[in-house]
Amino acid sequence: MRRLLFATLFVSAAAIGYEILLMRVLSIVQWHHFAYMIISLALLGYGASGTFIALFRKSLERHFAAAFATSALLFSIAMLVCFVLGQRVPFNALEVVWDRRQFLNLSIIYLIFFVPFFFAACCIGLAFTCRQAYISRIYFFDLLGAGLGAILIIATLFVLAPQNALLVLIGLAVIASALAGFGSAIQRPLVALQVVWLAFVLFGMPEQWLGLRLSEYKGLSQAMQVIDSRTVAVSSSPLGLLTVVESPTIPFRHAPGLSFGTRHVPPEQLGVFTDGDALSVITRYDGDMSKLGYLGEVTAALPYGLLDRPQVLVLGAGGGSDVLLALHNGASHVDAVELNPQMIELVRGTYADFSGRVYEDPRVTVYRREARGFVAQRKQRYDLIQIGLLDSFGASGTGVQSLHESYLYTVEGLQEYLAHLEPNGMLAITRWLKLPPRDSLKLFATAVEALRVSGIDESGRRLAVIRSWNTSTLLIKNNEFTHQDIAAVHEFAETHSFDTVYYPGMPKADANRFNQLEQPYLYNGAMALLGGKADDLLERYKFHIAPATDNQPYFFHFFKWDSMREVMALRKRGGAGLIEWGYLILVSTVIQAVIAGFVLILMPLARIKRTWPAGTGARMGSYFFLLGLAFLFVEMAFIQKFILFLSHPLYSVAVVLSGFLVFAGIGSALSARLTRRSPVAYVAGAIAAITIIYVLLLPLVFRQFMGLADVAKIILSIVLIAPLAFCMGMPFPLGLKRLADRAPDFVPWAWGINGFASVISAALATLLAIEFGFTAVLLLALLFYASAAVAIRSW
Amino acid sequence: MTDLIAPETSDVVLAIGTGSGYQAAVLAELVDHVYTIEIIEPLFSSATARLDRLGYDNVTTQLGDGYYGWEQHAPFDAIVVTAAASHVPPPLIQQLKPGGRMVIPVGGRWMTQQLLLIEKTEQDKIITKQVAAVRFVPLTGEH
Repeated sequence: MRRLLFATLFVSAAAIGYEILLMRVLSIVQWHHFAYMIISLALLGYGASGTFIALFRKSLERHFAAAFATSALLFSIAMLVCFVLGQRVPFNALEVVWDRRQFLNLSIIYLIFFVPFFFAACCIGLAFTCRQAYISRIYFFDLLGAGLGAILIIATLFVLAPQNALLVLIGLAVIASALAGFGSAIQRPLVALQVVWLAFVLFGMPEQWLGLRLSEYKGLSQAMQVIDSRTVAVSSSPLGLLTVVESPTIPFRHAPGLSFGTRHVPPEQLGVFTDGDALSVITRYDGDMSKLGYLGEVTAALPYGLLDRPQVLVLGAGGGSDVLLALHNGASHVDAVELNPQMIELVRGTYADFSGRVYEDPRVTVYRREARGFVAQRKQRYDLIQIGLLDSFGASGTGVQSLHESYLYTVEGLQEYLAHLEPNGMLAITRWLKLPPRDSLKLFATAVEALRVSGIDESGRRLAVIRSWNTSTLLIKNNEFTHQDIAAVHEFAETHSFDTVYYPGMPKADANRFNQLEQPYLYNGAMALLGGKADDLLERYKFHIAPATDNQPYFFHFFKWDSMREVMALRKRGGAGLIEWGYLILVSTVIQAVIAGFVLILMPLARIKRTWPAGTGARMGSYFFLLGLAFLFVEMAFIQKFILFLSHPLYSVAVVLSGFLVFAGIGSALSARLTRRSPVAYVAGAIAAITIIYVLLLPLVFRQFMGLADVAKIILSIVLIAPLAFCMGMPFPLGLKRLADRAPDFVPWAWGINGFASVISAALATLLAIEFGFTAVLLLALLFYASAAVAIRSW
Repeated sequence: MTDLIAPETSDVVLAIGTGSGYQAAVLAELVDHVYTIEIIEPLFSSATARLDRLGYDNVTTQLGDGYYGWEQHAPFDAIVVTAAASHVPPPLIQQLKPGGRMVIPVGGRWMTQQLLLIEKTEQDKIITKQVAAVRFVPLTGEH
């Protein structure tokens, strides 16, 4: 029995490890972290295996050990095979608008990655089904495995590259297979297969199988095609894969928003790509500022024309460009905040000489922290808080980040920064300028809203924006701009042939002079947002430019259904670039989850003979369907909410996923002790109470504890998740218990329907969060729980 | 692009990215002299030979990085860049005559690029217009 328990633990650990690893890998080879898709896939695997076991229960029971061991070995094999195959599907997300086949390719990827989860789930399901006497112990080891698996994969990703971390998971599944197969009828052939498989993985596998195949459209792939460019360093962690590229023949010359009037050429630079994109550069610096003259002639240098020797906070320091910008323009001190320790190490260690030890400069202090958390905890006030370009221009134009939660540019974020400014201090944010304008206007709308919420009526007197042909820099002053300030903005823009977009009292004739657009779109937009026509503009603008908030932190989401038809009509006339494909992929994931869930989970169940009273099936089914939706809605909303607190999507997924599994498991195990007449109603009441308290209090709790060390924050997150997950684990087994008395043959249907709902809701919850916000998703989940509590009384 | 720079018969034009030599040949029919730079050696050699063979004696080719323009023959009445760059190279703007025009696609490769028309006024001010969304091969690499 002990062997089976450990086999369960290893399978469970490898399964959650694979889930998190796939999210990491997909965010490297594609753009987005695809968390919703992978979670949906894993659940599909579990749902389909439930159906499979229900249908073949008798023969599987007879050969339990052999079936478990074979499944574990197949899981191990599928992890590798699907990893290799999945990357070879010619899926190009950028092409979905032109080429409908891309949706087919997406479905193929979905089905490929479903396979390993199916086998993993078969192991766990078999153990539950065939060893019911030990069910609580098996359950405990399953959950323990999930928790340990999440920790293991995160720790492994700090040491190994993702493709090598996969080998660890493959090993775990083989161990599970060996443990389970010991003493079974097929032990000998099984051991032989396990040995052959391991030998192949370790010694026989072609090396290129494991290589990550980056989309050829990512910045890194493009940079590598430039003649003589080569990778000079790679470092990997759960926070990102950093690739340093040297391009001696065609230098990077990364200088966003550089004035056309400049006589300066950027010095030699090394490109640092995070997850194959989001270019940041390390600029050669030998202590001679005169060689960095170009840094005085970019739009981001604007605030330095208004401030004298400011104390600066740089959020998102990356390879140090913005720190050099500050030093070049006379900052007296710079606090530089960067999330990724390996990025800091590149500048400080590996390329210390190249970067002129800029992070060691006595005027610079580097903090390895997440931006929002750092600011929330900081007592000090600054003359200037500067947020530079952290994403690449190419990526920002195509919607690759449209599903990416960004708490940096929300109303609450901006309020926080403003609260950390000296009385005459300024917040400066530089963004890529796209046409038709999207994020520049959305940022302006967010700034107006942040000032309004902070109680400032005349927000227009505190804002100024200039633009080059491809960047815009927004200034928000913690006070009203003076005449001298406005004169300085005007002079800076005029000197460098930048256009003024907005400043207090700006005449229309001052807009659109140097980089001439068809119309002064940005000026018109800014005036509408400040005048009484903001709602009208947000309503009729072709892109979604309503302010991003912590409740809907999708700054890069610009998609509007209303514009879809119009843009599709222009698709072949250059309009395709206007469609945000990230959102379309999410929508199609929901659709394919419905189809796959129906075909793989529900349809096979039709073979089961119906013995329950006519008419009760729908009522019983609706209970389990509602539970599936509700559980995943809460879980997905928490994953997205905790990104703010834990600073990275991967940490949030690992902590929330394993936290929910473990505590819901404990709740489920203890649910049998509830002896009240309508236990589900009580539990649903408790879930509602805790959720509502969290909706109200979590922002305060996050703010209070954001500055803690990562480990402390993870522990606190688990403590917060525990009571809610504990209660959420109860309604499902309570329903099963009721079924056992009334309609035992409906049990496989209960599992199947619940699994089907979970598969859909993983992606659906993300879609709803983008459209309506997390609070709406959570309230909807409560409505589902309440409906479930009512539904269960009807059968 | 040729139309955008409004070529005159007395113009001296710089074309960055010789490629096959086609753009240089078109310009050579319309203007006084064309200077053109190509960074990829095989393309440079074949285009030079091709232009020579066709008798374009008012085209001068050079192997090198177009980012720095061709100082020796500057200033130019017009500059045509036929490869996408991430930004407009400052040396090219400096080598443009007051009143001169430059067309250049800017932006990431395969992503939508913008075709920029850059005019240098007689007062040395730079006025730009985004003409259209375009797609060009990158400055170097796949050809």
